[in-house]
Amino acid sequence: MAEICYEVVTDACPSSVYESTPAHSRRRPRFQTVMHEDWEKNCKRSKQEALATRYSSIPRSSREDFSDQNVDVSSPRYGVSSVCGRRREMEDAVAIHPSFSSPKNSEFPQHYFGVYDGHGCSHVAARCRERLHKLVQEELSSDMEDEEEWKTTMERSFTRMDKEVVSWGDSVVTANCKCDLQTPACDSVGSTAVVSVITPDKIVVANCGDSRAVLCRNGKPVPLSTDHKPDRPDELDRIEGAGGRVIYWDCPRVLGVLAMSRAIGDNYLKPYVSCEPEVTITDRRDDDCLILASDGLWDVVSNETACSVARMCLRGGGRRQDNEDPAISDKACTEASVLLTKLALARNSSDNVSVVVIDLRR
Amino acid sequence: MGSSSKNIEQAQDSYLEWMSLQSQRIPELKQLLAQRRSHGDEDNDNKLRKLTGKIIGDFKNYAAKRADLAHRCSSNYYAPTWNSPLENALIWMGGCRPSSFFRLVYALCGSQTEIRVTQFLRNIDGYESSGGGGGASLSDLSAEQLAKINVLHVKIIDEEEKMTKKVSSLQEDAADIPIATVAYEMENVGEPNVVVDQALDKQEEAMARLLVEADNLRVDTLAKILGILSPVQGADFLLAGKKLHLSMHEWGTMRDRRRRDCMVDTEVIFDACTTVNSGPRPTETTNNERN
Repeated sequence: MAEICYEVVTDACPSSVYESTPAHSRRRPRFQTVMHEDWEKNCKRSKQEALATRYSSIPRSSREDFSDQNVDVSSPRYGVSSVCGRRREMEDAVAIHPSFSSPKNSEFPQHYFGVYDGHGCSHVAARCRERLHKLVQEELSSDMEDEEEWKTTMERSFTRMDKEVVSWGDSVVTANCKCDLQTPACDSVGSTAVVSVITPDKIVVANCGDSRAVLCRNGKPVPLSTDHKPDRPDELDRIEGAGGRVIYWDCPRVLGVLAMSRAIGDNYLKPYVSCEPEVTITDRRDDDCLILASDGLWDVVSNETACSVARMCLRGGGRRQDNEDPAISDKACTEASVLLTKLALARNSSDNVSVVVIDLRR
Repeated sequence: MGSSSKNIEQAQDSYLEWMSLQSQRIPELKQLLAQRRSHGDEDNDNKLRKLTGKIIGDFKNYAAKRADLAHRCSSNYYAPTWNSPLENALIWMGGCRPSSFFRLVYALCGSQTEIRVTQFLRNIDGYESSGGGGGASLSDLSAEQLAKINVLHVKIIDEEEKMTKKVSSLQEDAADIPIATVAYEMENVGEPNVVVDQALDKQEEAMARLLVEADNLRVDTLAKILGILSPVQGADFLLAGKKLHLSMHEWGTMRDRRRRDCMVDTEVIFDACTTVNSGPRPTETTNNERN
């Protein structure tokens, strides 16, 4: 919710992102609103979502909640932690699908991980959790996709996901969320998506929004995604090129509303807010682990710290009474994700916190 | 009139009794926690369990007393005169928000995490769960506990919102028929009126029923959290809650007194107050809520 500011949007604002505001005029006049504020309020005030509870967190014992049927040997080692934290709405969602692959591809295990951080309401993030991996699966064209193919696969999947959530409001009658999917309230709901597919030799990351994927390689953090913030110079150019504006209201916001420049959903901010993912493909080398997390973590924990903590856990530093448990790596990953979550809470993160740690050691 | 003023007196007495019982429990909790920390055995765990069970019993008893008295004077519970203004500003349905228990869990969980992580990063072997085994403190919350706490948290927020809606609608009723219309039609402001009295009685009764519901949610949430925590964590959590509640009461009273003193202080009231209040006091934190 912190991403959204319903207060003000204007065409009359200066185009500068860091529009300077004199200290004495912090209460600026309200300009013309882009959306119908009342709808927004109704949306927020109506039924509290219950959706979040289902997948909101994952005790080790019930991690099946997160994934399809767990598959034997080729199962990846990972840990997940996802909490509501200091917010009153749970709008984060996590999806994990081990041994996920295209129907034509069963030989090479590849694993799907996704973190979605919703805003406005929880239903877009929830929908991404349910659907995006399936769309990626459908778009996968061959056993071993090359870079260009992965890029196209991810872009197509994200576009389809976006279309689905935009048209969803019209077609689906029931929803278990606070806004009840009433259009047009629904139009102002969206979600980030950071998705990673781990293949035997590659790490594919597709990102849209301000969740982030960070690879720990030789103990050093290597970001595999770049946050889509409206003040990122290329994003700013893109937005302004499309005729939109970035207005500073607490932080840079698209049309003064959304504090990220790309997202799934957010129909009312199209085309300024784009659903096109940025895709990176990285060859696997001496990697420790991959961390996917929502900004509830990244706002308060640096890539370096997150990387060090995760690496230490994987090396057994966080191990307690476990002996030579075969599932030890799994435990270490869980330990890492939980410790990072606690660290975010300890540092007063005011948002939902979701962290996935995937062990990449061979 | 006589009987209702007696009710209020009883309500205040039961509050004072409750507060003194809470302060009494603090050393008991501390002592058992210290024992458990020096001897991490089953026996001490059982003692802790017994005490936390007893404390839940305290809460239930107090809630029962409130339920008994509230239907005759529910307004006094929604804005208790025995609370400091600070406490009354933070009150939700006659007490603390059940969701604030989770903030307390997170605060305690976080308080040691930073130090642990620093130690952990400096020296792998230095990272040990403190004081004799798993679940020794709130920062040792396991993945499973954290997940359970989170599920409960989301559920309780939901319950809280539902109750808030109910009380909102009761509060709005006060500006509706018949109270508002009678007030409008009256020649003189505040004349006694049978219709209004009846409506307000009904209103207070409905508020009393909600108070009982809210108290139940508070006790229920507490019991469920204790069900997730280990005996040591649970005792620590209760200790923290009691200290917070009692401290907020004192801090609130102190701040109120200061403000009153300021007001007597003639012209420079405003300056004086801002100076007095600008110190780095723990009460300045914004999200503290009474426990």
